[in-house]
Amino acid sequence: MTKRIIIRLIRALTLLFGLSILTFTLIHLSPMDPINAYIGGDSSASPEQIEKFKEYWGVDKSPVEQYISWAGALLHGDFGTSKLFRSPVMDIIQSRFLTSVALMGTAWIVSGVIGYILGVTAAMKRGKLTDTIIKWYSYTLVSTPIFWMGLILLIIFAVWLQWFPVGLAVPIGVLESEVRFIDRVHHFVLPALTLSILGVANVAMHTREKMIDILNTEYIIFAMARGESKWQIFINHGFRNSIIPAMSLQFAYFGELFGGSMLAEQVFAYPGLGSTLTHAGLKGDLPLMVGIILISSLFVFAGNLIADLLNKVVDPRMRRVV
Amino acid sequence: MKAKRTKFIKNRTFSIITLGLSLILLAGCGTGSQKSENVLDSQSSIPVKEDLVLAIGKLDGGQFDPKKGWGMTQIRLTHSSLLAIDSDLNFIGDLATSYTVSEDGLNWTFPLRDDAKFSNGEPVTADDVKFTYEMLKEDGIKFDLTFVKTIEVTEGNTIVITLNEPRSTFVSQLTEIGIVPKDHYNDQYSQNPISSGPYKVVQYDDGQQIIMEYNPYWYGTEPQFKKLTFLLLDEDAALAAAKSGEADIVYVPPTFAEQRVEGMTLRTYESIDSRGIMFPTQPSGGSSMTNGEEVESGNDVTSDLAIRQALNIGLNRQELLDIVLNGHGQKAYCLCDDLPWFNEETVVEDGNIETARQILADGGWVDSNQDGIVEKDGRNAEFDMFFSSNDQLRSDLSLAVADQARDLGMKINTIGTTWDDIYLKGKTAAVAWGGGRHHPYQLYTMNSSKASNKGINNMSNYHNDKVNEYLDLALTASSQEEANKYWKLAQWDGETGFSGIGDAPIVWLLRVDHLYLANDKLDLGKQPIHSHGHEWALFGNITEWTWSN
Repeated sequence: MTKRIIIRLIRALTLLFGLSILTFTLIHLSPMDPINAYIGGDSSASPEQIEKFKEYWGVDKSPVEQYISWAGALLHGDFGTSKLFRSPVMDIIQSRFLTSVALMGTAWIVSGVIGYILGVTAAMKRGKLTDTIIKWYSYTLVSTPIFWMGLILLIIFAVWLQWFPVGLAVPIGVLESEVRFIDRVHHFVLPALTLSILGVANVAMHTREKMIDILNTEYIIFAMARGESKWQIFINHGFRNSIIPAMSLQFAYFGELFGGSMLAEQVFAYPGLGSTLTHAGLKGDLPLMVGIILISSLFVFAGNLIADLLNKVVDPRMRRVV
Repeated sequence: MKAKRTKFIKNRTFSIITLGLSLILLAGCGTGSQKSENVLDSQSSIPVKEDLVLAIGKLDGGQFDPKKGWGMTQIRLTHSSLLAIDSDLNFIGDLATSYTVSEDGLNWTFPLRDDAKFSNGEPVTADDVKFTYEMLKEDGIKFDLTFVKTIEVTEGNTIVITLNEPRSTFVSQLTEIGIVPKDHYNDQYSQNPISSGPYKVVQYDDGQQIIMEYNPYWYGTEPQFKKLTFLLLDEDAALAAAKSGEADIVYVPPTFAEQRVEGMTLRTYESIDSRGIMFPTQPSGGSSMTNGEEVESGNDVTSDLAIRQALNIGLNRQELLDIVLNGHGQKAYCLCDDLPWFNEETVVEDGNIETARQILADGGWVDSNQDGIVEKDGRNAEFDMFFSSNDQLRSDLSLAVADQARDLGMKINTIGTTWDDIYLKGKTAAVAWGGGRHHPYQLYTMNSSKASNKGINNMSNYHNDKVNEYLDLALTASSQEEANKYWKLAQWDGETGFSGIGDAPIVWLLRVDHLYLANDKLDLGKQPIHSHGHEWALFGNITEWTWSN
């Protein structure tokens, strides 16, 4: 077991190393100029001043030099300073991480559970009306862009029904110190719901397929011949066999979830990692961007690790695989 | 044994689901009742409304720090400056009670008021002014103060600024530079801005909202609204906020202007926020600098004067206004239409295809092969036009212009891309350009060849000795009247100039009306003609705003 963990750790480190190099390279290759993004189209800085500014930001050096100095600082635990916010990257990430994790976590659990239940139900009722409805529902959702879904929910629940606020993570005009927990929950519901709804379809459709395969196997026919009820068949045979693909899929969904949360956060002006990453990306704030990318990939990596471990708990056959 | 474990799993799964669902339900119920409480509160509250909720767009950079670009029209809310502009565009005193300029235009003297205080109660002194100007001069990125020689504090709380050379546009910079406290300014100033404007920032949640409260030490007229909350929402979400009654003022793009919101009316304000097309004025093969990068420049088609003048007179501005802005705008002929330094002779009767074709024909552009595109020396009148693809207005404008140009016998290939790309390639093709200020300095930076190669100035690489001369005279004039005279001559002196009827390095087409949806009860006072930069132009007269029940 120790050996396996060490192997995983090495994998994680090489992944992060590769990712940081890739990010640096991509940013260097992109036509985006962080100096332009900062200066904007509205000033008349002279070439000498721009040189001075590049020096201050450290972008006058070659990409390799920039990378080495960045990586050197990282080894001491320093993620650098955000150029846009002029404060340590780690502080910014810390303040945003919790909101994002809460958002993604809730959406992840809700979509996984509901998706799985819908998938199983559809498979068990294959060909009936329930199945058709669930199928159509899933097809529609799969082809729905997440920001559009967010806007629809916004119009229905915030504008027409006025049950929920149109955006932000806290009530309008209320100071941070006076915000109550229930206010945060109130503002949390719509973005979380937006994210959850779209995750449902994938899990539901894959679970349905897997479940149908299972229902077609000989051991199910044998069980039916023994006179087991549908519920018993699901509990005794269906659950274990279908939960693993559903779980793997759900963990593979981590990355997509992150992308989705970026859009949902934009629509609802919800201050999470996603919207910060977009901001950093558009303004060429390299340290902040790499910082968020590393932290979020670590997050995704941890997710996959948990999936593997869980798989092994549920299915003893998997324990032999490294 | 085995059966028991399965059952346990089932039970646990079930209870987790139940817990999750009930949590969601609880959240819904709890907050539902809280909302209705709030509504009750506001209904029974005192008659004078003291807080406003505004959704006027995203705050883009700046963040209350003049060094980061907090300036132009934004500063009025939070900062005070030496001078200010009233709604008739006159320069009036703010921190300075008055100002005098020496005969030679080199010495500017500002006696400061004694009652000005920062939001922490400390007085605003001449030292703070000196510090702010020196800091910005040193930085030099956002404000060009290279022409300032010295800044001195003299007796009687007075500031004397000495220039290297006369600079008539300096007066407008005096209205744009917010004064920061010497003792509290550092790199973290954005996080806790201390300033001497009518409002102070009490909370800034990046990407969410800015909460400002009345600064009790403010020396000017006390505003009716003691608290302002700015929602940093996208346009769609901002409109949703208006519809759900959460915002009192919402900025709307022209495409949303027909939206009806109960209890709100559309407010339309004329602006000098202009859009046009910038053309390279030199033949291809050259190179110059943009934002510190060496880039290729020149275009063989647009460098021909006939092409640019034909577009100036041939394009139908009213049709462009209707297509691009749903009619919510004005025609533009120069960068400064209707301002005191505008030369009215540059107004043409536009949409005149006959004259445009004549200009082309006189310039040697004829359609000899009958393909609908005119040629000269075997070269088709065909060129690329860049626009920022995330700007709806500029995309629409570019496509509409390309469409109209076809009638004149020109082929314009429109290319949507990022500003970074435009800055790199823009000097070789036409660009959907924008600008417009309450002061004429942009006339200089966009048209003087002496300003080229700095930042994104004079993208056309335009050079005309006569225009340079007028621009220099205007810039170094020691009185506003004299300066205005030369600004006008630079546009058109009867023979030459940078306006559309002259060399037309930039053909200006339209001015964008600034549109807001505001609560019926809100009176926004007398608004001056707005400048470029939609969001903050509204707040110049915040202290005049009232709410009538």
